[in-house]
Amino acid sequence: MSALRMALVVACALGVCVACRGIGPDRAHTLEADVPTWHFADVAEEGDARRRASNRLVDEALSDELADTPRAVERIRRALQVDPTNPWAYLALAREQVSRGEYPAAWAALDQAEARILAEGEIPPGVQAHLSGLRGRVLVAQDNSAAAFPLLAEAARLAPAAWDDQHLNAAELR
Amino acid sequence: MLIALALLAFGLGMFCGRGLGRLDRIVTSRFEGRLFRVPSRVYTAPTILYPGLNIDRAGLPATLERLGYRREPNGRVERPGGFFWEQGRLKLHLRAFDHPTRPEPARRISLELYGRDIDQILDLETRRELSAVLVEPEPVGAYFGPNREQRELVRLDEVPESLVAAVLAVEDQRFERHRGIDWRRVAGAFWANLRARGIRQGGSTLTQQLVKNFFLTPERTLRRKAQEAVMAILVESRYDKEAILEAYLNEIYLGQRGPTAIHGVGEASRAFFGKAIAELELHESALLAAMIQSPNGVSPYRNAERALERRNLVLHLMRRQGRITPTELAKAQSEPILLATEVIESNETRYFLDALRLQLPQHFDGESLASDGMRIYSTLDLRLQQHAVEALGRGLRELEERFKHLAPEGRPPLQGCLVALRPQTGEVLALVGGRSYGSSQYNRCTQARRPAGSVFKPFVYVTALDRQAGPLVTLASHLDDSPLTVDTPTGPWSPANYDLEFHGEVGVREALERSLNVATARLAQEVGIERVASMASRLGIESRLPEVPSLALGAADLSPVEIGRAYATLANGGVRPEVRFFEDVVDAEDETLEQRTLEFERVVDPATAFLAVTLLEGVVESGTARRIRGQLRGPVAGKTGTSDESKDVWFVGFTPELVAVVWLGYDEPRSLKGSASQLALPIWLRFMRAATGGEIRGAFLPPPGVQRVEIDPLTGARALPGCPRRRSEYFLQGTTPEETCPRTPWTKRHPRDDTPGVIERLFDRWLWGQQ
Repeated sequence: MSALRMALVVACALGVCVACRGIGPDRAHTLEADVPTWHFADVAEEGDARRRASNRLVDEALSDELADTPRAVERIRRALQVDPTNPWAYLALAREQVSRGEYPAAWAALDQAEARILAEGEIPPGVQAHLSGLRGRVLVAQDNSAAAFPLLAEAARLAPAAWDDQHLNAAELR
Repeated sequence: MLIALALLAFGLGMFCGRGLGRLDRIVTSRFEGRLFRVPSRVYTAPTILYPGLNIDRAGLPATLERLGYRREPNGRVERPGGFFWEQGRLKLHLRAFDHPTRPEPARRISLELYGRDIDQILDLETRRELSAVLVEPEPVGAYFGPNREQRELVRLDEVPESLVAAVLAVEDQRFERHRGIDWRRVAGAFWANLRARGIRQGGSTLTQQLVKNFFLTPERTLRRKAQEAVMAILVESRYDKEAILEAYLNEIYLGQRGPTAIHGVGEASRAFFGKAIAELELHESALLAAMIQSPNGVSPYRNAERALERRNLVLHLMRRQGRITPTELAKAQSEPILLATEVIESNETRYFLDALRLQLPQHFDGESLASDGMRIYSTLDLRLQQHAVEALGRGLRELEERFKHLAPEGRPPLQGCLVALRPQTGEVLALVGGRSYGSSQYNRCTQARRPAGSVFKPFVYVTALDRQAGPLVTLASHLDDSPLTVDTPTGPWSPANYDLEFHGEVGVREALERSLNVATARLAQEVGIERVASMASRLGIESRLPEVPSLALGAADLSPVEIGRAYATLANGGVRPEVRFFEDVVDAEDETLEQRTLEFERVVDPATAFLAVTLLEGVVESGTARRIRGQLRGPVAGKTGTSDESKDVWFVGFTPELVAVVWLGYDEPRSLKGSASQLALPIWLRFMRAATGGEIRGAFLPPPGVQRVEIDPLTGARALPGCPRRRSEYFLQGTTPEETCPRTPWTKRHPRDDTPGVIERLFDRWLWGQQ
């Protein structure tokens, strides 16, 4: 019982600490400064052989030579053939579809990217920036500015280098 | 008298003129319309090679063989379509892949192997390392017209000079000089036949042969011969030699490949040598020319010796006519006959082709598919397709041997279907719609609608677990499996369990793992049948669902493909894919006519989908599908299904990357007298073992919004130290049990709605190590 009592006391102290964490100067700002812009290159060499091979095809799709051409979509499809669970392939697909004006398809690809990322863990803030930004772009194109602006603002806040212009080009994602 | 003669001459002239005009119209209408009907071909998805891939598991050697890649004897792979094995290395000269939006160049590569795994891919030209390369898609079938002719059209400028020279040498050596009829040859043939007192030799020119094949019957009468001669002259007067030669080379019959007739040198080049026409060498050209006279008699597959003899005869003829040099003759004569593996189109893919055809837009009708020469790039994975055919075929035979009642004499045989799809993209990778396409073309994967039985039950549980709806239960809840009667417009309905017993209070997991009917039916009543039906539709069921109490137990007629899609949605974290059989369609002019984009839609939140998946994992771990364990390693989930009186048995199972559905039953429903785990599951297991090698990649991981908590399985309460029983269970955030074991007894079934506070969660985590 004494151990339990002690545990309760420690827990109470811990609780106070946690409750007080939000008090103080501009915490959100501090967090943002810690969030580096997420690039595909950060994860390109992660995972097993299939994931890495799939990532290399995504990398080709994001290259200056192929980005924003039909061949980029083709490369992403091959990446998904190698590894259909690759979230980055869906993210790259969504970016490509936004730049091609295929908005409903892009929205669905973002759903899929999110589902695949969640199936492997949590969404890193840098990736969240791209998801939000791309969703914002889709909503703008669908004349839903009210819903789009908070998302684009979130993207710009989390990844200002990539989203300040409210646009994500292949090089910025790569 | 003179007038009469003049009138007679006039009449004769009129008669001949009209006849000529008629023949001329026949000639021009054919030549200026569509010359050939070219069946549209269906191709597999390309094979992708990358470091880490096991070439045997990927079926690369077999793929190269089917594609007609040839072993190069000298170790150099200078020509596309060649390969060479060295110690720890496979050199390949990949062929180019012509496609309007996704072309691939021909390239020489080396696969550096570690065991049978690809360690590195090197470009042999640049010595650069490559990340991934594509082997061109394989043709798997075609949409034929009634005559089953297959041809690959070629332009004259693509045809190598050696082939033109060989054909002219053997079939029509004065082709460039005559005007349709070679009178010298006619005279020679006439004299030879006179001496032989019978028809021994023909004097037909190449133009006459073309006319005969295009417009006339093969009968040997004077009238037909006269028509042939006149039409040949007409053809020569209207069209130039190049057009005639091109038409001839595309028309000529060159043998059989199973039931399919090979027409034209382009098709023959692929069929016999596995290469494009432009890549033919002199000795191969001579062999093709040698076969024209007697395609099946001189077929190198049937009579290699005779084929070699005839080929050398053609080469000598070419030399005698000055078409090749003595050196060329000597070299070509010394070449052995190297043939591509004879690939006879099987019926294995016909069900898939039929299903694909139904997905094409309506303007791709039978006529255009049989004649327009389109290329349809499908989603088919030939390796998986072969495993599916094998698993279903052998599985059914073994079942019939083991359970004799399944194959009663004089009655239609037990049927089955197996369909496999990729949950993320909805691409159908393999489909076998019955045990024999030859005896029944009815596609049981796409056309049949059969009672779903218990494979429908997970939709009830997803509805009850759905965050948007409450949820009504958690995975720690208990259900009531005691007698139930529901009033329906057709009278009271009282479901029973498979074992004809009632099990009282049972956990949610246990209810699904043991596929308890009564507990599930009661849960569906609590959730609402219309909501269950709506959820099933959201997940991907397209058939009409009757909103009756028995729907919960699968009293809906569904197709295996739609069931596969609904399970794919769960496997895919609640994102529903569109089922796709093809990627794109390209016409003969290399224009993309149709393209299928990847389409998906989130229909269930990821946390709810995960809970459903973990329930279905339980069916494999300790439920009706537990025999899977020990045979497959890694994440697997699934559900058995048996309809009323065992008339249909199902197994739907999935891994993070593959969903496969097996259905068995009779076309005229009657009892199989067996359960799904006895009958359908072994076939699914055989397929999955072959497809995955027994090792499943990936994992079903809980997404954010799902908590794992230790509970007392008996009561569903949160297990504290001192609780005699415990297991961990997943909960949607905010639905963890309020009660604890052993402090308070379990009294309340419904989960609480409030989310624990920060301090409470931290305390829990610190004190009990819970997530």
